[in-house]
Amino acid sequence: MDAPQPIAVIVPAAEPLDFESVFHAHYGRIARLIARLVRDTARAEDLAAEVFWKFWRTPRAHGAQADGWLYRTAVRTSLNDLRAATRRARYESLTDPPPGEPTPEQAHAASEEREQVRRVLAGLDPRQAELLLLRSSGLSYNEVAAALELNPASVGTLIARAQQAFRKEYIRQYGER
Amino acid sequence: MENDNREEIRWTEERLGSLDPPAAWEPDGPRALLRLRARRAWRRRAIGACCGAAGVIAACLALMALSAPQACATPASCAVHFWDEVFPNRAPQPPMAGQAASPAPAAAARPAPLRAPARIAPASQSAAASPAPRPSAPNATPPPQPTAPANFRESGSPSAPISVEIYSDYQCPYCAVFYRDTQARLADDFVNTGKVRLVHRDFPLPRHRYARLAARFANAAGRLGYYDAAVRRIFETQAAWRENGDIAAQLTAILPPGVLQQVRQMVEQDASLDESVDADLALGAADAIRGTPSLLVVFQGKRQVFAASNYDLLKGYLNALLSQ
Repeated sequence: MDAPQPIAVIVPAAEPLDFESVFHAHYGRIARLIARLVRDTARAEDLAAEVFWKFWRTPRAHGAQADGWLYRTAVRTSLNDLRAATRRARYESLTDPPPGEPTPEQAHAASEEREQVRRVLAGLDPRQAELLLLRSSGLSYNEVAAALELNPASVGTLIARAQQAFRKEYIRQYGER
Repeated sequence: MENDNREEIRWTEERLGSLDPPAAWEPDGPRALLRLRARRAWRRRAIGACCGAAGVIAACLALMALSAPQACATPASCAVHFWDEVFPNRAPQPPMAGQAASPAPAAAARPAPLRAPARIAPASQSAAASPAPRPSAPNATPPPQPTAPANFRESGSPSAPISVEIYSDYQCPYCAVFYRDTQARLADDFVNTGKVRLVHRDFPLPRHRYARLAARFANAAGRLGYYDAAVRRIFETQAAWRENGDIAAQLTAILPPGVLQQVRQMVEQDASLDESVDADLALGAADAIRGTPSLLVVFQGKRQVFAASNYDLLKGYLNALLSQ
């Protein structure tokens, strides 16, 4: 994982938006954040571009809180995409012919820890999933609080609860490892 | 307890650490930025195209509205053209109450009177006596009915100091209201007392399909001595005949069968009925009449359009003229 970079306040509230400066400052981290939940890196880049498109079209986001808005939108976009993919897979499994023996690739994918973590995150309370994702992407407590519009003093407690919930759900689904 | 928490954090971070994208992968920022620029440019073009299309559609609608005949829409009159309803100030303005002492400021700038205000002419000559531009005015044509009452479109004393000419369209609903409400009061207060001479002028608007036919019926009945009854009946039954133009069916209630038969023949065969209407239209155009009902007040040789149908305003204006 890349070394965490501090989220700089690029756009003072009173100055006009310099979209390209904001883009260059945040695109890489936004794309990596999204790629943590989306299997396909090309899809992650598409979603990252979509986040910046929404940002450009949302004038109220162009203030001092632009960075928080971007990370909040990115994590929600990626969680939405993950849940949609999970639902799609469930429906497809209902319409597919009865599976026989899983292929080696399917067995590998099912056992892959990354997919398991994603499934657990998709099933968690959205706010807890957002907290875990942002924190594990290298954001400080203050940055997480700014992105999710939380009281910075309570972020630590909330993250701890989210970790407990994540571990409990993971063990419930896949057992202790 | 402290150790349990640390263990839980470590365990969770290990699991979440598996989500890290491949180390070799580097997001392609320049390419994404190019795509965003292209998307923004496309959106700007799309917005421009939409605005252009909306402008073209609006222009087309405006053009259609201006060129197509419109239904009566003004609050108190039927305008000749749609733009007279949209821009009512194009039409001559009625004198306001405060202007009553100087009755014809606009008329002062207009040409000399088109005809002598107090002169009474036979009905068929009344319109023709005016200097209407149509060469076919029936000045030389004698009335077809020797027994026809003269001046059937005029009422009041020939020596009245004021003449009021009413430009009216039989199919105009506001004219029907004006005839019923205002004209009756005008007759009681001014015409029957010898103060005003009233002249009816036909001004059938192109949008009203049967207005000219109604004028022909009224004038034909007038030549036979039934003008007032026919006009009243035509206005009263306007809603009935304006859909099919069957004016004769409405006149059966007031005209004896023989007279109705004569009226029908005249309407079908007598071209001079149209000439009378055309002469009035030409006179109305010269007077800059833009809607019906319109009043034209003639006083001391000056002709002043009075576009309001408010009787109190008209009464005040006429009284102010009479007090001079």
